[in-house]
Amino acid sequence: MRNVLTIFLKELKRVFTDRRMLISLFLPGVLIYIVYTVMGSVITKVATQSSTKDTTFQVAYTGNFSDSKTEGQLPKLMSYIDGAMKNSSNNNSVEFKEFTTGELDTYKEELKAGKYHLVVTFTDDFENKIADQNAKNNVNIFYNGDSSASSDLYNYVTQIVSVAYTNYTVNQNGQVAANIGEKDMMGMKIAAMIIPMVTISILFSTVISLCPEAIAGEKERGTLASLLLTPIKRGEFVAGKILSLSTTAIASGAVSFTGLILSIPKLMGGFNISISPIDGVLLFFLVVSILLLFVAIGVFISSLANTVKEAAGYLSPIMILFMLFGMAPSLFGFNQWYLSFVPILNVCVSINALLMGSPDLLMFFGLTVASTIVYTALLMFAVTKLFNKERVVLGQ
Amino acid sequence: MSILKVEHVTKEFNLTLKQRQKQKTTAKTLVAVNDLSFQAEPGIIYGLLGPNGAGKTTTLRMIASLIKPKSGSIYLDNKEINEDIYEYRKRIGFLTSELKLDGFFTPADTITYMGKLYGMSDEDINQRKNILFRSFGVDKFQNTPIKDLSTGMKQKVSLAISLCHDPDVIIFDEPTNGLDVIAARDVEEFLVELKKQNKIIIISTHIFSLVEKLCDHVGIIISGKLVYDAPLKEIQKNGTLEEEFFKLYEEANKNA
Repeated sequence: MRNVLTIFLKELKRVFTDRRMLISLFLPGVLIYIVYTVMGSVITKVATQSSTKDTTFQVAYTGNFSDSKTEGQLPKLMSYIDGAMKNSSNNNSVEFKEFTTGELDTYKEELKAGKYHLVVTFTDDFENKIADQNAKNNVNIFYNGDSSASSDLYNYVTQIVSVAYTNYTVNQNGQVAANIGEKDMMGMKIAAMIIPMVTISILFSTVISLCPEAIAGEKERGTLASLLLTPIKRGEFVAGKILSLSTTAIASGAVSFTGLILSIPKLMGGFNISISPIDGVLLFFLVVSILLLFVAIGVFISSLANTVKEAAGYLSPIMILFMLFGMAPSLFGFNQWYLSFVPILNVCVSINALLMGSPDLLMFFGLTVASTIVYTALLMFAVTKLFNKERVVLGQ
Repeated sequence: MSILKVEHVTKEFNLTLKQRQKQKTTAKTLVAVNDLSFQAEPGIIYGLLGPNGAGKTTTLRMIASLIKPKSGSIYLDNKEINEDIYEYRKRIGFLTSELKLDGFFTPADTITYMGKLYGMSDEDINQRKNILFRSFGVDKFQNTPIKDLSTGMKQKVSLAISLCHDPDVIIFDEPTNGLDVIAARDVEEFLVELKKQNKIIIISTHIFSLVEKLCDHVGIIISGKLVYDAPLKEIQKNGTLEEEFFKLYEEANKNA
């Protein structure tokens, strides 16, 4: 028992007196708390708040309203929406148009064309029947998923309906397709929040599994010094390493990323998520550029470490920090042009904009990809300089 | 005739706070090698003898161009090595007894890889591979992953690969350290063979018998300073190498 205690205390001392070990053990826990807290607030924000501002929504509705509706008056639900819009801080307003039930298909076409943001149909005598517990009441709410404003209003109105009425079904409990558009902006908004973060974690995980072994591993095995004694230039050595690591990382990242893209529709369940081939190509360039930067970061950090374990210990908390960057565009609604020069965040903003259907080719793809490549080149240069340092080469 | 000259070379290392605390010093730098000069010629084995921490490995690393001296210069054929460091590196072979090979690859893969880094043609690589692998007895294992070889065989592979580019200068740090008697004998025989080939050979060691057995010339290094530099036979005139070494060691400590 005494020996067990001796070993136990020695091992504890080994861990709790090693600053690096403490950082690698406990920093991820702190960062995970921060990430999950931020993520929770982002999800809440995306799910409950409308990002549409300064808009006059057009709502068309129909239903044979009897006692509750007199000429020129709005049905109760429409009054709620009108009141809520007037009190909203987003400076939105709403205009209503009543139509007859027979005109439904025409109005749905106009909804699809963008003339209306919402088309609502009530069952006959809806507002009187709603008090009858045995009556079958239903409200169909149609929106255009291609439009962010229409999606926002749909989300908003369905919440109001749930507050205003208790004895009802919406879209016959999902039997009636609410979205008449081809996309689903609500789903895209959630995907735009998740995809940058997951992309970063997938790509950086690849880097963590490759770079420490390729750089710190060479030092740990003692093979690095042998290589640097040959007549190759340090820059050639670094370029060769980054090139081979990038190729491997791109191959690995491509498989993971394809898996992610294919799994998104399944992950998002009922949402209709789709990425066009052009968006896919743009996404590919963004992914490749950030992957090159990640490899350069991985090589730089691994150069400072003496062992594979130490390098992985440095890189893991960095990945969690970068994942926060992935959520930032959804949280703060970034769209400023100068963000194209902020490394990593620029790619996250671009992916977010791409998924939200508002990519700016110059800002998001010209400047972002170009600046990311420039940062990669600068890091490569810094790594070359590092390899001229004896402390780095000899690991002392 | 090729000559390697080391002239007034000094090397300092910065000490971290942890290192300063460990060594109980307030000095921010450690002088590892202090104004050291000597020269090595072809066809002789120069032995750099000294206790652990004396500065032997640092000196060899400077000669190998792995680290740079703070002051002083190193010349090969009267040409300062930094004038064309890449050309210089083609002419040196730095060997250590510690294994420095990636176990994942085979000896054949490794020698091809290193040969290419030295700028050799495929034909030259194959030629050198055949000669070296045959003379070290590695040829039968050339396609076996290095991790599956015995310690002695790994050492032989390491030596063969370090010599793939047929260097003029052989720098060997602690040649028999950690080797069993058979592998140590193979290394000794190999050094004698290189000497016959008129190579410039510098070895570092703390083993007196190894110097007596192999070296023609001895440099004794204590606390970074070269306190003796002469042919082996000269130091043996007054007593054994071991006796003379300890006289110098005590004298150096008195003066320190």
